[in-house]
Amino acid sequence: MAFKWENGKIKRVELPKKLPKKLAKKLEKYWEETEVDFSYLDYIDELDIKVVDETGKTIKF
Amino acid sequence: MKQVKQLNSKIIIPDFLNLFKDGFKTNREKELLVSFIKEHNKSKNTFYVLEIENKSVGMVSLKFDNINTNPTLDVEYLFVHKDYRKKSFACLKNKKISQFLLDFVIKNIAPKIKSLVNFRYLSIYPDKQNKKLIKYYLDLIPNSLLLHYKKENWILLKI
Repeated sequence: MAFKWENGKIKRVELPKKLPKKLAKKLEKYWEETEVDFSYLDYIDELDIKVVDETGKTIKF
Repeated sequence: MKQVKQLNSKIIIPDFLNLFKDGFKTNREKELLVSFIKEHNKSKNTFYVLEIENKSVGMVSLKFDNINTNPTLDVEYLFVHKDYRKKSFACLKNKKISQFLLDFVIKNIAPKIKSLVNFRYLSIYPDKQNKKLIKYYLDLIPNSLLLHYKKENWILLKI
């Protein structure tokens, strides 16, 4: 769900809960056949970013 | 010093807006954030706020959703303080704030959540359905899928 601004008003935008067959098939094919390589994100490990909760307590990732 | 703060508890709207004081380019941005804070206060999402040198410079809001019955982690809002937009930061390995926030969600938060509760996709609704922003996201997130349905574009990433 997201919000968008339309004619000066905020309107909800929902993720499609039921896709037509063709799009559902496209989505399933993407899930089945795509290999995602996340190695481009390895730089994050070098940043030494701390994640904390509202009390300042460290959350381990 | 840089850190990401996870917020789950109730947020007082003026206090949170004050974190990004003078950070809104338009009233629209502020009003959208208020809408997400209201959702947050109904326990519908979690906020992650990036702080650099004790200043809040950007945030991302995440929630569970589904697309065609597939569980999805939805990046429902990504906001960067206006003074920090379109700039790269050495402390973030020369990434922009928006890029870092998305990368951080994909690299750290999504796998952590998936290890506890299974889901398939990360979803993003590009603000204003802006074509440049859609291209920006598609370039930023390799192997993502652009899904167009009923005049709306969503970007999905297999997690």
